[in-house]
Amino acid sequence: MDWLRRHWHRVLAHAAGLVPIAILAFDYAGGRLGAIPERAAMLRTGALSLALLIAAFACTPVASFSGWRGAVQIRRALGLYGFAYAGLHILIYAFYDGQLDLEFILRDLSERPAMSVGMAAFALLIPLALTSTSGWQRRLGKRWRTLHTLIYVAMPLSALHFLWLDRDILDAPIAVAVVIGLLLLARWPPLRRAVARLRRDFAR
Amino acid sequence: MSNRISRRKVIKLAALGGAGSWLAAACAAAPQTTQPAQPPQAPTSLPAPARPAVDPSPAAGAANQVPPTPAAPPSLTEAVQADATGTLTHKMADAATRFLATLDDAQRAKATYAFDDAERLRWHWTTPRNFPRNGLSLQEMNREQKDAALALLQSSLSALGFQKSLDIMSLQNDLGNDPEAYFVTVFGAPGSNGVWAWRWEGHHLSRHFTIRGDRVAVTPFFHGAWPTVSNTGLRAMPREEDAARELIRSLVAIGKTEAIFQERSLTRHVTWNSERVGPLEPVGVLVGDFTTDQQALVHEIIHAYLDVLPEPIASDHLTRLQNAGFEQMRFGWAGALEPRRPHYYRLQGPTFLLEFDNSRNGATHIHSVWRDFVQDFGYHLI
Ligand code: HEM
Repeated sequence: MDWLRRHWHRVLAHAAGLVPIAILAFDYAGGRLGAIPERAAMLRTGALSLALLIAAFACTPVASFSGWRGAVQIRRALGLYGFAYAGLHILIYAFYDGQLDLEFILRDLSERPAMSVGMAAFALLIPLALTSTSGWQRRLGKRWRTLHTLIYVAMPLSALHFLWLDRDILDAPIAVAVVIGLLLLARWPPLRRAVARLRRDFAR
Repeated sequence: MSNRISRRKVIKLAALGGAGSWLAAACAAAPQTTQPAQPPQAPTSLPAPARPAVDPSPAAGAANQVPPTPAAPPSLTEAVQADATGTLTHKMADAATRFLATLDDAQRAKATYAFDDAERLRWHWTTPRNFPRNGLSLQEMNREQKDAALALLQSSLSALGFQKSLDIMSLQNDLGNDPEAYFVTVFGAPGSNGVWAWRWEGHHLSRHFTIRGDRVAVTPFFHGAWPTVSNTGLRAMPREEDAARELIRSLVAIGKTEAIFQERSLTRHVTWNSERVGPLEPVGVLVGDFTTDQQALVHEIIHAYLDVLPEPIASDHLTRLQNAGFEQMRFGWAGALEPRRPHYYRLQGPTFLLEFDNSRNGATHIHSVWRDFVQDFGYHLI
């Protein structure tokens, strides 16, 4: 019980990463993914990937604004789950949309800006995922932080990918873009300093 | 009908409201029913297709033998036909006038153009986001105006055509698009002695009507469907896809492999959104060389497109098509023969061209266009 009280946030993070894939597999096996299951799975994994990446991206500001260190402890897990869902999303795309036809996929990437920015976002996430372990963090030292600033590019590119999909109703993509924008703004040094000052004053 | 669209739109908007509910929606199982919507039977005296208009089975195989469809032109006499078209054009003009009367001045200014404005020939099938439309959208109309707009569409199509249009529009719900992002534009003065036109356009649906007196031109027209099967089991273009596949399979089965003019599918239809088109390079095989059953399938494909038109116009097209030479038509296929694998087909006669492309999104995304070398945009009426 004590363990759970100390680690509830880790449990929650893993549940957020694992439960949706279990539901997806369950729905797929039970034929509950609609008439075109590949498309439903592609949309779902895309949405999950973005949601988890945003959750990971929110950890640092949440920790620095609230002082709760637990947020930083689950950042890596959330980010890796987000990356894994993006990988699955792209795999389904390659099978379903791209028919495993490299020539077709390359043309699609060049013709549809939404696809090329999605791919750019994913490409930027690869080194981040590979170097996310503590070992790599130690090995790279200061350069690790510099490398991981790539997330500041990958997140807006993901938002652009969602915005540029061929859709009329933009409520969800705009909401996502605003959230990512706010999370970027929350990292702006003057704002962070002001919040830290406020927190100090408040604590006194 | 406008009710139905609005309700779906509201549900969709509610589902999309806020990032939290969006995530929840992403996790929820997609709803599924297996009942495809059945279009109403068109009140038509055209030779009916020998098969049901809707076959929900994508795998309806070539093994199913099709009884031959009579190849004779419709029996309407020229005079009766002219009279029928006359009634039709009056109905269309009345509906257009009534629609315009429901609009306020600003809306009317948006919805109307001079007949000779270049806008009339500017068309596309993609989303209004990719290709902004001019005209008045259903989104900008109140209930009464929407009903009048839909009545105008209804007056210009058969019951089947009207239902197909609504089906294509309702598919937008599956795509995160607005099923009301369809634009009505009127060119010139409806019912005047001169020529006038009107257009209904949005994603995957582009319909152009040019009217002079008792004569109507209805091409080009574009129908698209993505997904080919909706989450509720709706297939907006079932026979357009299945009948052609049955035909190519039966041609291959008797060794007419030259009907496949290319192993890989094209990735788009060739004529794109051209203002005028002429015959494309002849591909595939001559319909005159087909067996009776295969010719019946050609008839069925043609009917799948022409039965959406009001009866006298469909008859007129069929007669022209027959007179120009049914046997002269060519059917060509590119791509795979299996469902859910990219494919394209082309049916071309001396007067018309039908292009059908289903190569995107794992062959669950249809684009099809019917072009008339003479009558497109009513050039012959001007
Ligand atoms: C970090 C990388 C990516 C993220 C976070 C991401 C996220 C998303 C999201 C949120 C959606 C919309 C889901 C919904 O409507 O519920 C989506 C759709 C889609 N994504 Fe991605 N995506 C990424 C990369 C890619 C890549 C590299 C490709 C392909 C080259 C791709 C192809 C697609 C396609 C085809 C759709 C569906 C469009 C449709 O059918 O409406 N995505 N993605």
